[in-house]
Amino acid sequence: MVGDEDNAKDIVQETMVAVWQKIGMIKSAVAYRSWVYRIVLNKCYDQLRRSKNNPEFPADDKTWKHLSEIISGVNPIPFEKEDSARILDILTNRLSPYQKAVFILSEIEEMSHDEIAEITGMTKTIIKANLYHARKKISEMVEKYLK
Amino acid sequence: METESEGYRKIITLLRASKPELSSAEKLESEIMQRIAGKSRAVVAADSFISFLFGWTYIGWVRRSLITVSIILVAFFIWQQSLIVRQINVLNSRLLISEIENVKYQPRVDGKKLLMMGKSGSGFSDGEIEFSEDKIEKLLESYATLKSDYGELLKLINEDPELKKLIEEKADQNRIKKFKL
Repeated sequence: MVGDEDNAKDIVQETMVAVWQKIGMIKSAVAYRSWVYRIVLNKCYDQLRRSKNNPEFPADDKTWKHLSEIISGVNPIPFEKEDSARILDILTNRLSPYQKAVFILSEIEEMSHDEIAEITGMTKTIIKANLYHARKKISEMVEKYLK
Repeated sequence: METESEGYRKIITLLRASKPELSSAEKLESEIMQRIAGKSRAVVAADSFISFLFGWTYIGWVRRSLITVSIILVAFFIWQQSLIVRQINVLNSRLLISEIENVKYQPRVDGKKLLMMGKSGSGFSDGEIEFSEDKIEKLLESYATLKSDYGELLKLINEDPELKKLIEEKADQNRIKKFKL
């Protein structure tokens, strides 16, 4: 989500400390998952806001060629864990923070729109709109570079 | 959905199969535990300091004594406040009576008229009665003249016993006449 492993680690650390400090406030186990996701998401938004002016890094031709080879096979080889982060970052690089959050929660974490609404505080209509734009942008990118 | 291409579906399937993970999870875990332990140490230190300062308030008899003393102080404070309020009311009423009893006049800003405060229930009507400055001055002058003349007359009567006796007789006769009427 933040496009940098060190930043991601910092967010994980801060989230775990916040969870440890405020765990007593949670009344039910059901709310726990959403609460943790919400903390992570807010910290990601903060991080993205801080690194707003950072230049984007477009994927080079080599990366797209490699990606094309992987997915063009009949039985595509699963990505390495390290590659997954890199590919996800490339794909979501042009998305807004909200589109990125909705895309990751819906498409990668496979959450329902109700769960996403609880975590992000967005309405279902906004979630659908963000998801539509995210899918469209990524599909366009995939069509452009993987043909 | 129309927006999703085949390539997009394949990539998403692959990404779901191998979700990104942070490297060196053990190191991250130990760092988190260190931060939590550091924070808990700070919390424990703060707790022990507060306990050192105020821990004595948890002793049973001290706590009971403090509660009793605080109740007494609050009761005393309420009693004192009610006493002060009562005294203020008494003083206010006294001030009001003395103000009403003294019929005062004071010049207005223009200096041409005088303001006389009416006394409720007496010969004056409620509110303000205005007199001209000349009239008040004349009234005061005639009152002063009358007072001095009356004093001189009393002095003359007292000095002359025959005159005094004659006046007393006349006064008795007047009283008898009034009674007959």
